Amino acid sequence: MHIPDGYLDMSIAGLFYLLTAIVLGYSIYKIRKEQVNWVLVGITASAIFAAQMLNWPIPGGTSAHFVGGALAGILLGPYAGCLAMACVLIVQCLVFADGGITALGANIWNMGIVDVFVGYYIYKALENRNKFLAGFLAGWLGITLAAIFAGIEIGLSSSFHYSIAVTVPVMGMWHALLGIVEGVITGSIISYITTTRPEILKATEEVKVGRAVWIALAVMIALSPVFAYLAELVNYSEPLENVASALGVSEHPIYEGILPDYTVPGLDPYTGTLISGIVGVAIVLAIGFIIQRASGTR
Amino acid sequence: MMEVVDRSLKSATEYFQNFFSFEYYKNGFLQNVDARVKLLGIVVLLLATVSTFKISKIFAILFSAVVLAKLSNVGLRKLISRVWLFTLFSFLIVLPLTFVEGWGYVLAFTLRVLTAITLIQILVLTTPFNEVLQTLRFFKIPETLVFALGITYRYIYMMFTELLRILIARESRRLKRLSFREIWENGGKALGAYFVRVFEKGERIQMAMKVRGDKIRYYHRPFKIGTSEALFIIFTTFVLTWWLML
Repeated sequence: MHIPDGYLDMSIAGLFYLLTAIVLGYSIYKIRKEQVNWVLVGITASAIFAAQMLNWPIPGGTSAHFVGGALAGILLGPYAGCLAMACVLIVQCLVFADGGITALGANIWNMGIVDVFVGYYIYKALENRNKFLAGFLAGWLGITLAAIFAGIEIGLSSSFHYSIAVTVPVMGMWHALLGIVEGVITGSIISYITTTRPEILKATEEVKVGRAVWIALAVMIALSPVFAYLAELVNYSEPLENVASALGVSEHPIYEGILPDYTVPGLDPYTGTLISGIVGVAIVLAIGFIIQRASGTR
Repeated sequence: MMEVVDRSLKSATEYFQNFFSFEYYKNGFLQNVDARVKLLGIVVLLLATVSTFKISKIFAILFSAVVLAKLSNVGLRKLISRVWLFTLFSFLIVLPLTFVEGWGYVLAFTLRVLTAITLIQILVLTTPFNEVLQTLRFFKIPETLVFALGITYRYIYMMFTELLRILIARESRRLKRLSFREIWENGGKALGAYFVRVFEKGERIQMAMKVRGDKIRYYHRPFKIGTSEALFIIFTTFVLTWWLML
């Protein structure tokens, strides 16, 4: 997933350098303030670097490797995990030429920020139910979202002539499959540490997750119209709709749904997308709440 | 136990053992240039490469990069062995676009990637990592990040051998060929044990560092423009002027 030089426009590369500098700078501030053991951060980074070199066999005769962003977040906490992954990616770039110098900001954003923070908060939200499942979902979703971000970055760059409508699905779907490897490895490591040295994981437990998860959900909902706008900007349409259009097939839905095509009839599409996002999240949360109550777990 | 898993780790460990032991033994032009000047020069050439699709301009920089490699005793064969794979990968990714855009874009894109990777490889092959760290501190990168980077680099090889030891210990106790499911289960446990050891080692190293004073400093040589730096600046300026004129 390391983006090399030559794939990104300078404007996109510069934007992600800026965003990365802000988040990494804040993480370093938090690490200093909380007097985190930065030696442990460096050692864990070198351990993740080594673990990335293992090729894991997958059915079909091929293999995949581990990235470790979510694991870094779970083991060290999001800020120290972010610093550890930044170290891994900088060493890979400046010592082994893996990933470009101009794309370093974007690479740290994807694998050192998105993967780490998403992985950490997913794990914290689910850890009381099942440690393996929480680790699996953290690893899987972290890497899949990181790949989607990589798809957005290269898709928005005019240097790379495939549009975002191609790059995001390709990166997202491919990594959603490969992410299963990441998820299983992350879940297995977390399960093992939970049974042998649970105090390692407790070191990052003081962070208040509930509020952060709500904020992250709110930000994602608020951003949903931006993605609707971007999709319109690049003339994105569903691949199946393109096929239908090419074949001259027209749509005759049996039931339109309450929010047809993620819009609210009578409202402009962006407001409709925003409301659809809120309704969708509310439904999923309600189902989760009902399952939680029914299973009697917290 | 896990043929694919431990074979990949064994080859990686051997590679890194050689890498850390023998990487910087050659001397040449760029090895004598101050890392601060070299990093800035290479980044300028990199930016010139990725800001154009004109093949003649990209070729000018690629040619200059090869000249720099030659002057710095970086063998062409070694350089090709380090750049061909991702260049080929990039070429194959954009190859379908020949039907839409013709060969011009595909060649220019591939050449951009090849030139950019070549420039980074030349930087990597002529600059020890401690000089990179000194340069980062010189450019005011926060010391927490630079120190953590230093620790990361310093302990990579140790972490490789640690992981290899765990896998060899497990392999030596294996009595039968394992299924996919068993490989994954055992591998997960092995990695879990590895990270527990990593934490224990990290705590011990931190305590040992505290005993010794808990402070790392990266000293830079005083900044001066010597003959090598002046020649490199003239070379870079010449290449950029050539690039602008094309």
